Amino acid sequence: MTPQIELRSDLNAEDDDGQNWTLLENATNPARVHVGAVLVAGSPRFWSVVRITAVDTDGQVHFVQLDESDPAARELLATVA
Amino acid sequence: MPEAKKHRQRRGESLPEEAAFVVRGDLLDPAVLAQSAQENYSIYGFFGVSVFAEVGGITWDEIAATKLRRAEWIVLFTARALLASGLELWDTGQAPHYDVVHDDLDQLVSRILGCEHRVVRNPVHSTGDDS
Repeated sequence: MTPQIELRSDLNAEDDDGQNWTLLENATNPARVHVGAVLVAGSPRFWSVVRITAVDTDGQVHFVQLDESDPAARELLATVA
Repeated sequence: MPEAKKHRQRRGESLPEEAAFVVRGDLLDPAVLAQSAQENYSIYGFFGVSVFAEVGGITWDEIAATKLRRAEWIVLFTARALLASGLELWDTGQAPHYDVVHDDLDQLVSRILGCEHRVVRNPVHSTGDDS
């Protein structure tokens, strides 16, 4: 099952530090996108639970994918399943 | 062209070997490719589509098992085929990340779609909700 994508993104895209990135305007609820937030990012066929690491003033959002065994990922998926 | 907001880091490496596989997670969707390239332009000032290449001893199946483990489908190009299609490969960010680049957005998308490639199911794909 694909959960609701809260942050549309291309999970191939990486920034200069090797983290994934997208634009804040791609968020269904931009207020949810802040450093430390855990949410579902990607597209319906290619998604992941991620943790936001930075939100830049130009709207670039940086994040890392969480492993499936990460407690935060499990907790989020349990609420959306 | 508007001024780029951020300078994109280039590693200064040689191009991947011509026979090296260049991989991208997920099926090739023209709308997704165009969206991704436009977003890249809005931040870094050039039309680029992210991919990963077999460089530094890493193989495409290792990339599929790590960077792209969440992708059900993997698209395989060769560096030779992409370059022969009039596309550039820029060594952006951290290896093995690259951007496939063209000055024109429509040409970028159409040349990627028209470039010889294979689509394979990711052997390690995990859904993440199978706990």
